[in-house]
Amino acid sequence: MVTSITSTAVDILLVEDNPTDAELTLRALGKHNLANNVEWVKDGAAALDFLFRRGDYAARGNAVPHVVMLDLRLPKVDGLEVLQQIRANEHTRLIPVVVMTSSKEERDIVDSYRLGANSFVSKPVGFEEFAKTVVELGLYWMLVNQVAPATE
Amino acid sequence: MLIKTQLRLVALLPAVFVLLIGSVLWGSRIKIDQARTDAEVAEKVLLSNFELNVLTQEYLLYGGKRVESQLRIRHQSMGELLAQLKYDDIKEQELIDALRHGHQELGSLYTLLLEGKIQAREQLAGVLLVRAQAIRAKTRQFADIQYQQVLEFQRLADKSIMVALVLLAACSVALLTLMTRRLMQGINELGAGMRRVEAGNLQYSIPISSADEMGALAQVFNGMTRKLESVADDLQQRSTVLSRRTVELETANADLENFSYSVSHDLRAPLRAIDGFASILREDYAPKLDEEGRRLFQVVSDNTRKMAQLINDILAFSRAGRSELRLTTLDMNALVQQVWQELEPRRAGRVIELKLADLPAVRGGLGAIHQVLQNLLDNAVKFTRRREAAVIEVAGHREGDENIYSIRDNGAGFDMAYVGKLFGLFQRLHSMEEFEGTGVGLSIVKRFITKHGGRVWAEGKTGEGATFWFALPAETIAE
Repeated sequence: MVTSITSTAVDILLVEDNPTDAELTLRALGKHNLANNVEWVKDGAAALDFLFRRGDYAARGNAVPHVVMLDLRLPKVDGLEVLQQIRANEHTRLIPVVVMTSSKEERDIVDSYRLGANSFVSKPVGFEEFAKTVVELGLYWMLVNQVAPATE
Repeated sequence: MLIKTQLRLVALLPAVFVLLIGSVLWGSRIKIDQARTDAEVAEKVLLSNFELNVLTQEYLLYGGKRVESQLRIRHQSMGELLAQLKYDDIKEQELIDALRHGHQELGSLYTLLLEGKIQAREQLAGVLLVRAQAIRAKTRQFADIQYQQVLEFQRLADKSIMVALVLLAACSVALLTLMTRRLMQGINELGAGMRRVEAGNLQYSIPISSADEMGALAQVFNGMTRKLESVADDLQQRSTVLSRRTVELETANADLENFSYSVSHDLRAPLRAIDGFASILREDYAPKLDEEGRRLFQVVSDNTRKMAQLINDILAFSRAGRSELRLTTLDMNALVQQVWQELEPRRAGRVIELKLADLPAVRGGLGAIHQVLQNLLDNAVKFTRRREAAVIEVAGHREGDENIYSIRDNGAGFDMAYVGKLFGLFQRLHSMEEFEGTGVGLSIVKRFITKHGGRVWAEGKTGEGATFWFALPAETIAE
């Protein structure tokens, strides 16, 4: 079943350490009413805490996000490590993960796909293109893509 | 003593023995000859003694002058024979003396007989026969002694030769054994020393001080080892320097990679923020901005885009140097057509004729050659912008062991005076107002082609167009 975007559960987990990139992303999503259920975390450790309901997120409900937008260069635990742990856990391994990064390096692209990223997007520098890319991604993974049934 | 001298001495030994044996043989030959001669003379004495006896009988029976003179002649010749005899020792001397004495006695008896009285003849003849008998016996004895001597000398010579040969063999064996032992000891010491050096102990010196060739050899080898040691030290020093440099270079390279990664990641984020927030500002505060305000925001946006392009190009150039080529056989016609399709947005609204000849296939890295064609065709599209009827020709042919490809346009061209700057990084031959660009595209082309072992060059004329050639090695084409 397609979950409604108005669900109270978190739809998008945005893992981004750069506050301006995060603000631009949230603004682009907000323009299309996609920002209502976005959780923004600033490092890899917080992302893992959120996904595995630990620390600050221990009390959070059981639902998993529809999509994780993951930057690669993150404080504490880097993006590839986060991706690896998501894929290694029975509860989270089916969550779509979109790697969004400034990098165009071949090794980043290869490593991301090897660890099970669903998509690799290089962030455009121009704001118009950037906003367009973010919105397209949001719409695709939230509305068009069919998610796997919950494992619980 | 030198080994050479020792060997010569050993070789001289048989010669000495041959001389020795020769002289023994020669000496005994002289003795044997002497003994034989004496024996022959003794036989002749026996014969003349027998003849004297016969003549004496004849004289007693018949008498006569003829027999008389014959007796005298025979007796005289017997005396001559006896004079020829030589003695070697006292026994022979006594015999010879007795024979000569007997011969004289015979002489006096014959004188008595030939001149004497008739009545004493019978008696005299008896005495004569007895004397002759004694001479015969003594002569026989002398001859036997001579024969005995021949045999003895022969036996002595044989024995001497045998002894000499045995001695020679013994001496040779003894000397050779001694020399071999000395030589082997030297060789073993040399060998042991060489093995120690071979095992890596370059400080080792072979302790042979003997004044022979072994000593000289050891000295030469020690000298060689010293030289090897100094070369090895030198090499060690150089390799230390080299490995330190390698580490430095690796560090520098890693720094460079980190730098380009940082450029790729960290420089873009603030740029995005500038562009993003400028856009937000323009959107959210549009009513409060006048025309000039909006123009200023546009300038900010345009420059952000230029900087973004510059960063992209620098990264592309850096990747062109770092990426490894995976060579495959490339269908150049298909590749040109693909690039041409991809350039469609750049060609939008323009009429450009692409004349694509039949291009030879080539071994190359797909990504690299794709980038080369993209940059060259993009340039051709860009610089023909002011032409109403733009024409771009792509051709290629094999020449020697190269495939040469050319891209010709009838665009703005360039002044050949600056052709040397054309492929340099950040080198531009046109102003930004005329034609945009960062001056990286042709540098990337050159870098990729050089990486393939090929070469690039160009020709142009201001206002009439430009032609770019690139040549790639053709011998590696897998047919």
